[in-house]
Amino acid sequence: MSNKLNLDIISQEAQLLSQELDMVLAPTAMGQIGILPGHISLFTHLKAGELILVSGIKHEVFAVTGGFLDVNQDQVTVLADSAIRAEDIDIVKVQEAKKRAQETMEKKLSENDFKLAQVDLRKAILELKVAKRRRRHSISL
Amino acid sequence: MSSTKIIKRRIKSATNISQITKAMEMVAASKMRFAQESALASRPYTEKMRQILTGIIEIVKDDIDHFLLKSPEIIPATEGKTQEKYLVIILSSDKGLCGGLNSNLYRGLEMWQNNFTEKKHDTNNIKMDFITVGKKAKEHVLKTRRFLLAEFPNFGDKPRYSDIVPLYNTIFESFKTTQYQKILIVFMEFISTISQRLTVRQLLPIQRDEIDSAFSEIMMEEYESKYKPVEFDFQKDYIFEPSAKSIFDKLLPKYLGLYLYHIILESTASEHSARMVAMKSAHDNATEIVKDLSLEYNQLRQQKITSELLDAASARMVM
Repeated sequence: MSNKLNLDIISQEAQLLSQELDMVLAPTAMGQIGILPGHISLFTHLKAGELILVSGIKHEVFAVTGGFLDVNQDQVTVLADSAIRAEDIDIVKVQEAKKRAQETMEKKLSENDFKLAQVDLRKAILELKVAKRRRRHSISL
Repeated sequence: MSSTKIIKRRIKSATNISQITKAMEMVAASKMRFAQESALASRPYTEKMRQILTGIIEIVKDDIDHFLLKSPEIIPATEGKTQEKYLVIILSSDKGLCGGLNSNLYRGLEMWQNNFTEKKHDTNNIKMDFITVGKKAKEHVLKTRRFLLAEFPNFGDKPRYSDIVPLYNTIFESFKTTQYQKILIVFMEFISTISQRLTVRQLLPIQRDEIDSAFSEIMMEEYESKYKPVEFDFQKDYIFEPSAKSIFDKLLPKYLGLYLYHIILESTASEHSARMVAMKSAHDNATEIVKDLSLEYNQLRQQKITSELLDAASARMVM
């Protein structure tokens, strides 16, 4: 058994990442779990949150908005509805998106539009949260 | 005199046609490229989901009973043959001018349905209801007096996932309420720019063979290039969190939606490539006609000049 994990992050648009690392922290429906090499096969549902990839002393953070996680023989696959690296989040853009979504929701359009806006809003809030936490973190380091 | 005028007019209209068809060809080509690209972009995700799904269905098939994985039970008729009901979804275009695409679709549909009902006729009566996407399929279904359950407009050139939600809900609900034993989808599969093929696939219930064969077809080209399938052997002891049932409740509908979306992207690609090819041949024809007519026109003009010269020469000789 090797002592590394293989991680693939795939979103509906593209394959985002494929790399080897030591540990994955994932926000599942049952709470945050940590996956280390040698983990038993697991299939679980992800909720929106931070996906943290630890390799050595470095770690990277992704904001995911739900999806599925599969672990099978040290191969971890994240099928994300959408995922973005914390460093790539453009705070100005996200704030704009958040405002847009809020405006759409206030207009009280059809139920469908409302739901779509709600999803956008949730995504924006999550991304902001993740990005802000990363900022603070990197300053304190 | 008048004949040169007529020819000139015909040249003009043929030139116009060739210009219009050329423009339409170019528009269709760019739309086609987009449709093909978007079909390709969703492939890694879809492929991964298939791998995992087929793997875990195999593991839990004995313990898990999910309504999307099974046909609803048929209530045997008290007398005569048992009635089976199928729901067929037909994907077509809204607009014409795409060569034989839609007529091939109709012809294939008739042939397939005749075959299908004949094969099963001995045991069960089969009733098919239809859902159509696009104006052309609706017209055909109404013309042939079939039962039209619902109709949707075509999803446009750049279908988004949110566009197909109404269709998806209709399909999902009609299966959930156990009205139908099977839900099938008929569409023109995109093979290459110059060829499309009628394909019938089973959407529901989700069955393993179906998943495997359907995807291996979709992924065929990709297999060799980018996304080599990693065949893991799935272990028996698998943990599902929170529970296998809740995972399946989320995963199966998602898979269904994704699959449906993929098929729609593919049929969009077919429509645009068929239109591009049709417009290309129309353009070629029009150019050919312009060429022939110009030759005829020049000959006539030359004749006229010659006879005028002859007239002038003979008039001089008389003087």
